Amino acid sequence: MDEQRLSELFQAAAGDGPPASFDEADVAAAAKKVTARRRSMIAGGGGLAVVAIAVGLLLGTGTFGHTLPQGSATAAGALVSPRTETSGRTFGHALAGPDVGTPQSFPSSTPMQGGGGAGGVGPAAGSTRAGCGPTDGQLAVALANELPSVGAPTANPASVACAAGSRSVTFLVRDGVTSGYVIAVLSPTASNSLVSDAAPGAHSFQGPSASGKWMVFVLSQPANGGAGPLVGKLDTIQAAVAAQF
Amino acid sequence: MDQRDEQEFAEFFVARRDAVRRSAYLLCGDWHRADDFAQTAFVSLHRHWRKIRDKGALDAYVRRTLVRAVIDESRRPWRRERFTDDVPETATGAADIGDSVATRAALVAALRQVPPRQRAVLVLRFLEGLDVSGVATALGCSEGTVKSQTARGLAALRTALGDTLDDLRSAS
Repeated sequence: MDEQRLSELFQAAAGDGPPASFDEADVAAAAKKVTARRRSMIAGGGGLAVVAIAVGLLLGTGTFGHTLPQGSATAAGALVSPRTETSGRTFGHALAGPDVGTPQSFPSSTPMQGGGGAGGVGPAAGSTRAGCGPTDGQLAVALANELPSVGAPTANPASVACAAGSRSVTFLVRDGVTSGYVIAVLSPTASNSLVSDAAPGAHSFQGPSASGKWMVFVLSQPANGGAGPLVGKLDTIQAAVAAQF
Repeated sequence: MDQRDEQEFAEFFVARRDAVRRSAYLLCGDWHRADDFAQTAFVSLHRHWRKIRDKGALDAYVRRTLVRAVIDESRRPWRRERFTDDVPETATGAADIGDSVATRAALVAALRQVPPRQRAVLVLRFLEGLDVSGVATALGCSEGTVKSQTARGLAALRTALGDTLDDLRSAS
């Protein structure tokens, strides 16, 4: 059998059917009905979307209202200063984006590194030497801007001894397989005790600030022995931070 | 649609309704469902009439809509086709109602045993008279797929027909 014969068979099989059960008016009416139904579905979907957005905004506002303390500090979305609220709770993980341009918005009352009781900076605060001053928001922003995005931030104290009136900040930084603390200190004096008293394996770079008011120390201190993070970039980081004070 | 569009649609509808119904019938094997499918295709065409700029492609649009509707329907769980060894509507002997009627009934019943997509290929090729590229365009697949589906569809059709149509056994 060739295709011609097959085609004849198909034509014959579908040849004589009953009269059509629909006409043009039925088609037009059905089309209008479908169109109206689609429009109502779209309108309903749009209404639902508006409600969902409104609920999302309300929930989002409520969530951030509870989550974000006024003036909390983050840097580049990945690094967060060890700043804590007076309750000692860290909010860095709750923030989605960078918020580094408003150092003046940091809370005025910040805990002292190494301070005990409420307002301490972390569970290991007992090992911190006293005298490093409060964790400084402006310095935190300046230092965070110079650090690469190296992983989740953790608040930890600096294990150094500062001169009275110093301002400081510490970041826990992961640099490849190396992790440790990067510490920045604005010291009113050029005392070397800060460096000499640092933990074994620490590296530092120091120099005067742009205004000449401060001696700017930047230290890299290993977390668990070995080498500290970003040792080779300390001079660059120190210069950048010093230029801002 | 405005008056002019309605008029154009009416002319196309009158000219093509029966052909679309016939295709639908061979695709589903039931005239009532064939009318439903054909109406679905025309309703879709009516809704999109103003968006179809190439009026020469109206047939292709209706054909594609029809085939999709039939295949989609066959996939629905409550309507899913089940293949059985026994043809549900076996043609009676030629001595009772004549050879031609028996042949038609046998062919329609055998087509229902062919998987929907292969059946669509056979209908488009042998009822609508489309060539391989035309079927590929209508079904949105490659020409190679059309060729393979045609071969498999004919094989399935021969199997379903058995000895009913002897001259179809050698068709390819």
